[in-house]
This record gives sequence, structure tokens and C-alpha cells, in this order.
Amino acid sequence: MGQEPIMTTLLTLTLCVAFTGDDSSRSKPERKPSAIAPSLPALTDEEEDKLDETVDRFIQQDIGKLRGAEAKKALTNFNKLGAEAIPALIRGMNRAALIDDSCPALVIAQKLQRLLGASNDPELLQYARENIGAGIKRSRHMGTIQELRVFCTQRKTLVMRQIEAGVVQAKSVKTMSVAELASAAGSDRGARLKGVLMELEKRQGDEAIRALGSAAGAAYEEDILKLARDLLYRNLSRQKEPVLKEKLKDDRTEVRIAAARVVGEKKMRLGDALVALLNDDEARVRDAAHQALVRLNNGSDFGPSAEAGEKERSEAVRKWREWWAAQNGK
Amino acid sequence: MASDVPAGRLSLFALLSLLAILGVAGFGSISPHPIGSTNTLGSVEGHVHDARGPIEGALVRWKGQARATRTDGRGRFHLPQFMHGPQRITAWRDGYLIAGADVNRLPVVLDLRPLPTRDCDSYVWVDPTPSRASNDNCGNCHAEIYNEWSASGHARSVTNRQFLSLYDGTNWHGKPWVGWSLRDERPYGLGVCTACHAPTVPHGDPAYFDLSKVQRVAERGVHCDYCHKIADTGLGTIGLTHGRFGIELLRPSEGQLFLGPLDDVDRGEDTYSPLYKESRYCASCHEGTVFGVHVYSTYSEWLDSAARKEGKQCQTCHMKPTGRMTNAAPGHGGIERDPKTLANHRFFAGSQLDMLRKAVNVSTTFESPHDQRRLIVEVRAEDVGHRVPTGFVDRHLVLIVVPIDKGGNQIEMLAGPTLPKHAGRAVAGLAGRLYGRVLKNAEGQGPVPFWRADDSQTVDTRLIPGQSERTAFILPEDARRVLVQLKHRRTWPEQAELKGWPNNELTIVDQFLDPP
Repeated sequence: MGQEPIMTTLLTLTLCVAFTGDDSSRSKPERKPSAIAPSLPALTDEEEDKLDETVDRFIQQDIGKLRGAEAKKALTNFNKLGAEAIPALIRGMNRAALIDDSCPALVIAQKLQRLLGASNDPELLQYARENIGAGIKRSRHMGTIQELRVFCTQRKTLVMRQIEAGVVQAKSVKTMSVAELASAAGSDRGARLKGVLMELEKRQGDEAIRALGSAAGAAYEEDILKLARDLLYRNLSRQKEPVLKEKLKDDRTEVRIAAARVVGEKKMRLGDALVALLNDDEARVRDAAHQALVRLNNGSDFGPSAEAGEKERSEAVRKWREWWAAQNGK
Repeated sequence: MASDVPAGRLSLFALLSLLAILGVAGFGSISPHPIGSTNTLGSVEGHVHDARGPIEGALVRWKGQARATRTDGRGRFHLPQFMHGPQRITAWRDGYLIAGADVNRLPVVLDLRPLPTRDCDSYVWVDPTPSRASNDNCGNCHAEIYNEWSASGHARSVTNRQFLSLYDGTNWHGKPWVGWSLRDERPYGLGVCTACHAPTVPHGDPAYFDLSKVQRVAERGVHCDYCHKIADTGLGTIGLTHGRFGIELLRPSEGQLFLGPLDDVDRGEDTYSPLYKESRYCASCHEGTVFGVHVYSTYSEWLDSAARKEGKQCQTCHMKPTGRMTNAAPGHGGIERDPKTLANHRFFAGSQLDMLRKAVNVSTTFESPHDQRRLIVEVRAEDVGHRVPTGFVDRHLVLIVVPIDKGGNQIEMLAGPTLPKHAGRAVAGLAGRLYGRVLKNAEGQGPVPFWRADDSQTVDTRLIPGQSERTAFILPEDARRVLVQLKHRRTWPEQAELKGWPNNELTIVDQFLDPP
């Protein structure tokens, strides 16, 4: 229970002190920078322990030692880890490199590479270079470790050159193509990512929706996740009925949810598609479709309730189907 | 003929001279059979050594022949002579390259050179593709093996469009954002596939974490040079230490080295490894828990199988010689061999469909108890060392049983199991059975891709070798014929349709029955 509040705090703090080249987030309360690198917040030992535990829980999940809700939570918490967790991720990478299971080290390495690739903090990059693989003499992941170290060195060299040349500022989002924005949405972090998402919301076309949908389902900071979902909803609110009908069947959970919300808000005559979503794999999609149907039905509700079992849900689906048939699709 | 005896005398002299030069100890007493001679009893004797002295336990044989012997404590051997047989003897021992010598160049002394002690990480992989521009490419000499392998899944492990479409969320034509997508849903997990699907992509290559960027030799997937550089497998924990990480390679820093299942290939760059005939060789890639889900289970299924107890290995069925190939490298130094000794590199005897038809038997009987017309369908996996289907977790079989009236119309079965929704819209609700492993998410809904699955919810109804799956269907009165089909699918039809796979199904059984 205690993990989420701490994580949220950490993530918020991260945004406050991150080297993003954008000062917009600096209005939030600041924590002292870490002694490791100025772009990281100083964390207490307890907070570091919590981060270590999050990484360890992910390793347990990844090798099949956790099941059900525990496994899901472990993965979700790992995915949420941001730049503040880089030291913990390095420690986790070093632990994972010494176990038989080959997956966790690779997954952590890839996450580290993304986080470090978004950092403009030479001290952090130097710290990572020195600590990735520290003390490991023999591991089946030596190649991965070596490449991460090389990556840190190269990134640090690039950042130093940019700092010296005074060109740390990246290309303006306004001059980027939708494809560039979509790509940046998958790699940028912090305030820069917010800017990318806000620009994507203004753009036309399916690719922008897809990129927003992916960010809304996979962003790692809580506030960016929320922002992406809001922007996705805003973008879909501008779309016409045929597009929304298509988006109700989108493969991305967040797109289906946002589309269902818009259909409900605008009372579009897409009741059959909403009823189909009552059997969606994802509980949040089912809930969004249910709420939208209630709106279409002017507040009358055939269920199912949130805690409904299979039987009650089937019954509710049947009633909604009958109701929609009686509407003649109007 | 007169040359035989003098040759023996010469060889004794020559060998004694050689031993004197080498300073080999322990040869004070010479055996009654002169070493290195073709004696009058029709056997050849010789000696195997390395730079330090005689080699005990070396396997010595007439090249290309079954007859073999081992050297004694002094490195000596004798083999029966063939009247019209080969004139070359080979020797191998663990840790050494295979050596060879002609018997007409006496004495028969075989000098074993040790294998490299370290794997060379900077080794450049040999391209399998035949090419005039590059003499060393595997396919230049081993054309038939190359053709077999080219038609195999191993050759397409990283380029096959089914794999890529699940990996990066594309459809058959490369259109992005269609259906299940590992890249979108588990972006940090992409590197996990590389260890098996593209094991020769080097660290630091952008393709390591994005297989759509794979190039050059690594694009050939599980290729000749990679497989024949495997010195050991099963490092770490089978099933958790995947592919490349569970494999010890032996790549030379200079020259060349190939490991394989033949112990008499004496070109000076080959060695024998019994591992190549063992299931353990395949285990690192054909057993795997990925993201906490038991996605690949073939090796553990084999461990539990009767086939294993009978001594059958993966290679017994999947590399069973075609019987057609008699020379692995005709015109390029290859020799004529017993076709039963040359493995099939397609990994399917005939085709996948041929193997499925051989492995799965469907029998039907009609019964008439209590005025009912009952059809019993029995599906049974036979003579197979794993469950059916096996391999990628989404593979499944569907048994479809359709009654047909006298007008040729499909009619409903009176009673019997029906196919679920995830069997696909074309057959859902029809009478039949599904044999597969349905992965479900934490909420119990499925099928879902393995990266979304909660393995504690998995339901496995695949066929177990030697066990019959017997199902009864009650036919309607007006049924004049019954169509029985058994199909194999690579993945769930909803995804296959969404992604536009043209080849998701193989029909194993397709027959009409006439009820009595």
C-alpha cells in the first residue's frame, strides 16, 4: 500500500529536477539534487530500498515467480519507474546479470538505455558508465553490460559537445512531422514528452491518434499518463462518427476507452459497438462502454455492476442488446 | 601386391624414427603387430598422438564407414582392412579437431590438434548463401543441405512475417499498428526475442532491440555457421536462460572450426560433438518462460514423453535422414556415405503437414444406442515426443464435425461439444473440439498474447502422446453425411485475420463419412 504514494512523489520530484531543457516544471516544490547527479532527486535510504524492491519484484515477475494480481502490479510499478530510479535500475541490472534467467537483465538494460538516452546530465551518464556491471567479472550478459557502458560514454560525449556549443535545446516540436512526433513520444521523457504529446493532439490523422493511444497506455510518469489520456480524449472529440466507430475496435485499450467516452458524451448512435465492448478483455474498457450506454439511454442503467459475475454480465449484455434493437439503431 | 610387406617394414622403421624424433616415452616394447602396417591378416594398425604424446581413447575409423575402434593407452589402434574399401583413416577425441591419414602413406600416424580454448567474440560469421564472390559460404559446397535448411523455419526465424507481425504489430503487408504487438505493449522486452530468433546479432547493433532492423548474416536467423559453432548448451537453467545465453559457442580467432555429428570429417577444421544428436542441443530455444509465462514447452514435454524413455531425441524425428542425400559436399571434397548418416536440415520429414499427418490419428466409429445415431471421434497423437501441437504457444488444433443433410446443407448436431468463440468466427458454435493452450489475462479472459498473460490461468487441452481424446457427437436424424476436419493453426484466427496471414491453417484431416 505504501508503494504508490512514494512512487508518485518520486515521479513528481523527478520532473521537478530533470534535465529537460524546459523550465515549465520547475514551479513544483523541489527536493535537493542527488549527490550522484544533479538531475536526480536526493532520495532517502528507505526510498532507495523501495525502488530496489520494485526492481526485484519485476525480476520475480519476469521469471514467473509471481502470479496474478501480484505479477501485474510488479510489472506496472516497474514500468512506472522514471529517471529517479536509474541508480536502482543499475543495481537491479547488476543483480539480474548474475542470475540464470536471461530475460530480466535484457529488459532492464533496454529500459536503462532509454532513460539514459533521454538524459542530458553528464554526471549521471558518467555514474552509469562506472556502475553498470560494477564488480561483475563473469556473466552471460557481459556483452550487454559492455554495450550499455559504451552507450553511456557516447551519450556523455554528445551531451558535453552540445553543452559546450550551447545547443542542448532539441528541435522544436512545432517543426516536427507527425512521424517524428510519434517516434519522440516513444523515447522522450518529462517536460519534453509533454510538449510532444500536446503537439500530437493538435495534429490530424490516424498516426497522431495511435501515438497518443500508445503514450496513454505506456507512459511511465503518472502525470504524463493522465495528460496523454486527456489529449487522446480531446483529439477523439474532434473526430466524426465513422472514425469513432473504428476506434471503438482499436487494439489499444486507451483508444477504446477514450472512444467510448466520446461516443457517450456526444450520444453518437453507436450502441451496438458499445454493447460489444461490454465483453472486452479489459475491465476499464467495459466500464467506459457501460457508462457511455447509460448516457445514450438517458441515465437508465441495465448494468452490469462493477463487481458483476459472468451471469450478471451476460444478462446485462442481453438487456442492452434488446434495448438497442428496440431503438432501431437510432 | 608385393608392396604390402615392404610397406609394413618401412612403416615400422619410419614410426620408430618418428618416436625418436618426438622423444615419446613408453614405446620401449613394440607390439607383435608392427605399428602402421597393413598386415597380412587384413588389418591396419597405427598410432594417434598430439604434440605431447600418445592419445588414449581416440575414436578411429575408416572414413565414411561404420567400423571404428578406440586407441589403447599407448595411442595405438588396429582396424580390419577392406579389400575395396576406403583408403583413409580418421581419428577424433574430445577436445581435438578430427585428423585423417591415407593408409597408403605409412606409417598411419594421426596427429590430433587441440581445439581453441576460448570463444573469439570478434569472429565474423560465415554467410550460408551460395555465392561466387565468396568461396567460403556454406551453400557453395553443401548445396543440398543449404536447400533443405532454406526451406526450414530456422532460416526464417527472424524474417518470417508471422513472427514479425506479432513482434512489431504489423500486418502481413507491413502496415503498422495492426493487432497484437509486443513492441507497443512491452517495448522493453524486445531484446528477449533476439537470443533465439537472431542469435548472431551482435551487442550494440541497433537490431538487438529491434529485429526489424536486422541485416547481413544475422538476417539468416538460426544459420549453418551458428549451429555448427555450438560447443555446449543448457548453460544456466533450461527454460530461463534463453537461446544464445544458454549456449557456449566456440569461434576460432583464426582459421575455421565446425562442430557436428560426424566424427570422420578430416578437413582439419572440424570436430565431432555427440551433443548434435541430443535433444539437449535444442533445449535453449525450444523451452522458454518469457515474461513469466511458459511460452515454449517442447523440451519439457519431451522430457516427460515415452519417446525419451525409448531413447528418441529431437533429431531422431526432426533431422531424420531423407535417404536421398549420399554426399554432403559433392565435388567439393565430400565423400559418398550411407544416406542414413546424413541428417535432414529441413527439420520436418517431408513438410510440417506431413509430420502432423503422421503424428495425429483421427478415427471414427458410429454407434446406435437407444435409437440415437452417435459418432465417436477419437483423436490421438502417436509416435511423437511432445504434445501436439507444440512450439509457439498460440498453435492449436481444431476438430470440426459437421452433419450434412441430403440436400448437401450443413445442419446442427443434436448433441456434443461445440467450438468456442476463440476458435474463430468461421467455426465457432459448430460441433467440435479445440486442442490448444489458451493464455488468459489476470481477469481470466483470453486468448491473449503471452506478454499479457497470467500463466496461472492457462488452460492446456493439447494432445498428449499415446492418449486418446474421445468425443461423442449425436447426429440429427436427417444427417446423410458427416464432414470431419482436423486443422492446425499457427495462431488464433482473430489475429490471423486481422493481420491478414494467408497461411494460418493446415488441414490434417478432411473427410466425409456416411453414417449407417
